[in-house]
Amino acid sequence: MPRRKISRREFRQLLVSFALMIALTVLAFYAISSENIDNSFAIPFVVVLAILQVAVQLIIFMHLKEDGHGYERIFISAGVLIATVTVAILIHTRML
Amino acid sequence: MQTGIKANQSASLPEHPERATLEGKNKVLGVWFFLGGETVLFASFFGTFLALRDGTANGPSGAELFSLPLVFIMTMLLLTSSLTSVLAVWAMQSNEYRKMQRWLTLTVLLGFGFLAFEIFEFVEYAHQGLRFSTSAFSSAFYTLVGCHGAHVTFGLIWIILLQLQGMKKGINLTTAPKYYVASLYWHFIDVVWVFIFTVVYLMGKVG
Repeated sequence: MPRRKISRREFRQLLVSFALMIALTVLAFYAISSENIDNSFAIPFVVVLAILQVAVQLIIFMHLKEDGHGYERIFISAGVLIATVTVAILIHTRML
Repeated sequence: MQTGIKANQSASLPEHPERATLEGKNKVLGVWFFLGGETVLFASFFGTFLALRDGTANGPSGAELFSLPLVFIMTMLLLTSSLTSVLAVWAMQSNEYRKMQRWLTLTVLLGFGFLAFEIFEFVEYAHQGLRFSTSAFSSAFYTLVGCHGAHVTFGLIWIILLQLQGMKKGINLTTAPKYYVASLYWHFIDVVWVFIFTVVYLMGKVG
């Protein structure tokens, strides 16, 4: 069997993803630092940017969408589900 | 394709050596299961931090202490190290041993850079009066960010040990899954950091 050869397409995809993650980071820091952007908008905005960046990391860098990753997806999704409930309940305790 | 075979390379390495054996497949699966659990662990710390972050007990608050340029540099170091670990795995899959070791070394150096900034940051905060037991905020902050720092430290030791073993064993069907899962773990560390810089630092800066 042949050893793996990285195609130009794969390499380009990696660099584009990396550039995208840097752009999302810069945008998040800018949204918070800038005087022109209201904090009530900036806070939910940076959370959305973080979720996007993590999606890129999971799909491109960690190959989560590739074939043969069915159980991997179930495991990490179960973790994310319990994590979300945990965070929601803990934030809720603050409001009690 | 290059046909010359170097001393410690096997000619018949398959395209995905990390999943070529049942043991390799199980290791990858096991690490994803572990990362699912880690997600819940960090979620508990994040939730606790969000619930307690206003409890500064007359001690310094995050908005007073945090320096966004420092956090930005740390983010770039960790993000770049995530890229270099992808390149290390690609070199591993292409059976290019020297290239893989070079990318792993770069990953480790970037990781140490991140850790150095974090230690500097914690020492600086302690000087400004934010110690572990100062307030509910400080305990939650140091537990969450410190736990992540401990993961970085553990990841660095893990990768260095794999590099040392690699010098003896090279890339084969037994070692390939080890490089692959260490890289997965390293990406996960970056995933957690994305939420830390967003939730702790950026949201903390504006209150």
